[in-house]
Amino acid sequence: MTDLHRIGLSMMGAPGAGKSTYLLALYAALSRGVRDCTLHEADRNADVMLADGWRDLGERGRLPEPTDTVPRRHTFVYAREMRPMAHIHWADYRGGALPSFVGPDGSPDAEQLLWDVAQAHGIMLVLDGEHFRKPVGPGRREAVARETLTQQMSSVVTDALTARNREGRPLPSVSIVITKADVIDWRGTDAPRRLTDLVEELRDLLPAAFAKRVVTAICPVSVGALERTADGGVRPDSVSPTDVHLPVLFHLACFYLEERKGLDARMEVLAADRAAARREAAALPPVPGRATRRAHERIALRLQEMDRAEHAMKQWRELCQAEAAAIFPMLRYVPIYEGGVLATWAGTGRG
Amino acid sequence: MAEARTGRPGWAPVVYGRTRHADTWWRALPEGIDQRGWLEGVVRAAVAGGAGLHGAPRFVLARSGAHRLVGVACQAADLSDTMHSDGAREMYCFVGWVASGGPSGPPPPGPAWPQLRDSYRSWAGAVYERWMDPVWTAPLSELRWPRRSRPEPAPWPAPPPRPFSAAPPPAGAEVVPPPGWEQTWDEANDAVHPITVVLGWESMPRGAHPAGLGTVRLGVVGAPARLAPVPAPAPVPVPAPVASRPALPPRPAPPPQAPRPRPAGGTNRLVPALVGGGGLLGAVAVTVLAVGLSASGGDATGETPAPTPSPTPSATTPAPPAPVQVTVPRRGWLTLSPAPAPVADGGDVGYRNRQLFAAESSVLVMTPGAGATRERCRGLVAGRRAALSFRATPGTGFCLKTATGLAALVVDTVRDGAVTVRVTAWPL
Repeated sequence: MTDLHRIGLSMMGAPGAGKSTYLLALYAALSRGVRDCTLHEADRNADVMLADGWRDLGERGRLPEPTDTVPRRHTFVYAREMRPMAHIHWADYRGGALPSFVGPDGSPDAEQLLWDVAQAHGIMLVLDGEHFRKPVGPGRREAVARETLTQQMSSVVTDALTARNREGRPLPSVSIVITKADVIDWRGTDAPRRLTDLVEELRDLLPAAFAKRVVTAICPVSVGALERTADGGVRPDSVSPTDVHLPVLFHLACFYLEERKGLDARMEVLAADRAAARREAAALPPVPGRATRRAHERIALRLQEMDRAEHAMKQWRELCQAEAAAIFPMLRYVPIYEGGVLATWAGTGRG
Repeated sequence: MAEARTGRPGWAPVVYGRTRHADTWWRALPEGIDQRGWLEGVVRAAVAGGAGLHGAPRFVLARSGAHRLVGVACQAADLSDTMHSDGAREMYCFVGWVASGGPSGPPPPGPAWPQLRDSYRSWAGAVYERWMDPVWTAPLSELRWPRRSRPEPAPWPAPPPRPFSAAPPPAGAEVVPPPGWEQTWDEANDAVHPITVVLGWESMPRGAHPAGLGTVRLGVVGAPARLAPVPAPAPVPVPAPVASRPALPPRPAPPPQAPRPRPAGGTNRLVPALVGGGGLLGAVAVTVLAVGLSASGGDATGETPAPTPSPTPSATTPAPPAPVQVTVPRRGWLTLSPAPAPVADGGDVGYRNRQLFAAESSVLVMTPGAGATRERCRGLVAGRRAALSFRATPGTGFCLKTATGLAALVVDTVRDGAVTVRVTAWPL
């Protein structure tokens, strides 16, 4: 438990886009488990509150309380095949934090949001599917951008990406989560919407998500139609979370992939260091003496430390490799883009 | 020592609630008060992300050094028939009033709690309508900053003059069941020291209260006694690693990165923090954990209880110590050494404002029954934090640990001027 990976996910979206509702549905789905993957709140009371929120939504149709200026923070334990793998740190901010001022007269939660995004391993951009019922052509683009806050999102994401590029840090993975996707007519006979068309519209709205080296998934999700009954409740068969787990699994897979790459790079550095140490040992004078012996001992110690470090790195690398390999097949119907191009390496996008 | 009641007149409105179109929350702030700091801490703690406000408003009376805040956190529909929803979700809000002290005296007292409870819809409703109506449909660009409010006459009748209590209330947080709410409210109205009272919780709030709220009193409907156990935030058990899989060595440390500046006031993303908007718990959790522990025989918190020593065989069993009745006057102390007795100063447990509170070096734990044994007390106080305070009510039992001794206390009678307790003391 103490040595799990710590993964930060940051979520942005306009007020009413469905961020809090999505979180409830995600938790409901993954706390039950999806294909050996589970998520549990580390705090039992928070676990109960999330479950209560989902029940209120499913039984009475009561949407979660609007988030105020205090973000709701969660620490989830991600486990696969009953093995705890990572802590996921998640904060649910009000939509209004995104377009708020920062600084002495600004909103503290707006500063926290920017800080979270700057540090996150994964960024989730939440867009209300209501805006995508119809094609978002040039005539509607500005209005949709205004209402979904994609302009502010692009600005924040661009800032995070440029800062990380400048500092040589790994880029965060990005998911564009289209909530209420059940309202979009995907299969109708009368001009059904196609996911590929939606992706093209998103390119125009959120170009930063399709920038060079950025890995982005497009994830339409739904909690169901939530059809009302006469007594004010919700029809049980209209509560049907669909694909809500995919964005999180995508970010996890990307995290493990990136972590593996980082370990590969560090092992290369380690190999170079080891070679240098061996050269240093070989260069020592052949005449035995106290100074030479001590130098040999120092180098031997360094090599031992390097061996231990390499051993640890290899094991963690194998774990990351195995996790990424286990998760990516679950994403086979999710369109994933790298640098704006369909990422064939992910084996996805066939749906 | 009583304080003269000559504070600056007038109460400036505070309104915290979002509009139909703009997801910004501070609508009205008194002039001269920053939205960051004490006021924000109190309001956030009372609102708690809107949790549990349906049909259950929460009433706030808080005192900082120079200001007093009276208000209510409730559903916006309680205050307005038209401005309570963004079209999909019901809104919640906080409406209150701040009075400020000055060179001429402290801030005036607020209304009695029954008055506020019965009249908050009209009093707070008028303020809500007045401040929200002009901006309800305004665009975000016009609502980035709160408007400033000025002191105005309070909507409640002037309370009869009462002396202020210069005595600081016992520090820490306490849960108060409904019968004690009015008294707690009155005590906060009399206090000159920082105190925050929030009445009306349907269940125990979660999270830690922000720093700077002073003494905290939480009125919880479901509190069965003076103190209610709080479920400790226990981690959800996670599956243990599969045994056949070799344990991984410690994860290699990440490569060093240049430190990045943190935003002022921000919190570390990787530090688990509050859920649900920040409740008022913190110190309460510390206080009530002891009760939870005692009620469950020592494992309510998930912590390992201190081992109870097995009785040592001995040829002769000493007679159990007889309880001693001790009357401790108000502001006085009870000491265990050399024998249980009242002292004026420097004792182990103090009595003030109908509260028993432990000295800094003592541990005081409430017991579910009145007849705790030595072993029971030893187990209960082990590992507990020092300096807790409890409301003294007749029949309540406590365990006390001091530097030199252990004792079981049972409260016999409680008066404003003195408390009488039966003390059974043992050496450590």
